[in-house]
Amino acid sequence: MRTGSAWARPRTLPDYLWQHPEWWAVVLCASSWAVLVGLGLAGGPHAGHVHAPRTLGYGSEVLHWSLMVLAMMLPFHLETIRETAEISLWRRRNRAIASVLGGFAVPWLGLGLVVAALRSSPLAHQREAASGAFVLAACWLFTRPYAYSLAACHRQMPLAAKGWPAYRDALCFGAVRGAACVGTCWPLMVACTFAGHSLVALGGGYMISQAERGAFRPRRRVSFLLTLGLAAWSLAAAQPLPEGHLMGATSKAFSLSPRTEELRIPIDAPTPGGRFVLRMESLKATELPPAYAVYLNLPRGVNPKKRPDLRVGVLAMYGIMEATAARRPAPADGLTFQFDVTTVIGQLAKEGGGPVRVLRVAFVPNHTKGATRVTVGRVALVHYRDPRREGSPERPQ
Amino acid sequence: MPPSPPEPATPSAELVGATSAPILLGREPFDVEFEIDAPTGPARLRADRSLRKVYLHVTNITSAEAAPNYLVYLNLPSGEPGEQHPELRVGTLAMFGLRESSRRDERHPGNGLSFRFDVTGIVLRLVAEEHWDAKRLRVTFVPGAWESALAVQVGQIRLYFV
Repeated sequence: MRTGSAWARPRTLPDYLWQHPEWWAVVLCASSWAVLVGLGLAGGPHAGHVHAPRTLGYGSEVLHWSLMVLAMMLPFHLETIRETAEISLWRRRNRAIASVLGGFAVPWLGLGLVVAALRSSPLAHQREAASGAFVLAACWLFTRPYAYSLAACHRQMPLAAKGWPAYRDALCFGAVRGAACVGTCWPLMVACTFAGHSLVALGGGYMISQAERGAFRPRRRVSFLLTLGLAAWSLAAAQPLPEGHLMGATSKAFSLSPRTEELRIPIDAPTPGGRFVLRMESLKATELPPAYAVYLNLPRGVNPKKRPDLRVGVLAMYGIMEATAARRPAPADGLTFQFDVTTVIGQLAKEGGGPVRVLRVAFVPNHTKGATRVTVGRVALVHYRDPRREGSPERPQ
Repeated sequence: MPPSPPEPATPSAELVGATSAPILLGREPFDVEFEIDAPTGPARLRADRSLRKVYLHVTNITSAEAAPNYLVYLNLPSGEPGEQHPELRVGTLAMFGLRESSRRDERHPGNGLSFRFDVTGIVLRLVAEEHWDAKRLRVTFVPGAWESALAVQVGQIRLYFV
């Protein structure tokens, strides 16, 4: 409630924070988006492994789910947080907000535990699963439970001012709003999870939710079509990769230490056209190693930071321990990364005045602390002639 | 033209007291008391320490049936009818639309009716007459004439200092 005769800009930071008690929830939400976007761009486990054969651990799935809920659902409940602050005593408004958020998390976490269990099945990684979930989300928009839940997102509850009843009421208030939120958005969130938390799915899902929640009279048919569009995208984006020609590969497994290391791979003479993909397969570690930047044919003695044009990607090791530990039904096959190196191969050929015959792959850690070693099963350069390969994202499988 | 003075900061309202449980109103006048605390936030920290406004919120009033209007009084002496103290009357809870707003359906959350009254004048009067208790507030609801049974629930009463 902003009661008073004057609506004016706040003059000081305390003024601003007093009037926006939801500020720390906004920070929480922005941080979650930053992590999700960072993982997506870095080609981490969230980068769209729609039909990846490997599954993450149960804990990681729950963690990813929680991040997604914070990023996508919390923005729709900033008003809930403001409302909570306004109907709470000043000295305990932050505690009340925390209690409401705790209550809000309960229904979402309950669903998250179920979805994480589903994700342990390879079926939940099929492109058809993501697409089907988006179709379900589109149809859900026209059901009565959806309409009831959407109305219930605005349900108010008085909160006791003091003592344990204040905590109890705040938890209940959060749980009621959380349950309503689950009732409206559960198919969309499940679909986003089945789509491997891809940035396209997350962004599209968020915009659809925003259109539904933000509009006074939601344009349901538009939301329906957009959701169907996501269903089509999840099918198209996860086209099976075409067969490629192996240009060269390491002959045996090797390990990386937290130092810059380089390996040589003789390769066939590249033929023009198509795409070149560098694959790093079955990366395993029992402790969290540093992230490695990967460079191709880095000139000797040159600081890698001065040749960003030769960097082909970053091996983000998030989830490597889970991928290393055998956990049914997921095999312990580690992380696999693949980077599109077509541009770099072309540049090297131009600089060298001829086709590249030996590929020197340099792994540059982002720090040199510890002694964690990463086992790499194989590094291979693959040539794809199929133009569809051009749209394939850099992603671990 | 001289430059205009800087804009004042938006006043932040601070809750200082509220009922702890819903209240059920019937056909008889009903008193409810609740604790109020000294402000600890912006209302306390205001530089000139003046009291700008006091607001009484009566929120989430719901009923399955229609109900008469209720008159609301602040610190009405116990046992005395409201008619004798028009100076303590806060306002009227107009119950038009009560049933409809109480219904939960596909379009409405069923939050009921909510009212907000500016009670600054009454509070200043009570303070001047030394009838203001800084730790407790009594709110009296007086229904209009009504023949059938009533079950009107008031979700919460809240007092704000601005």
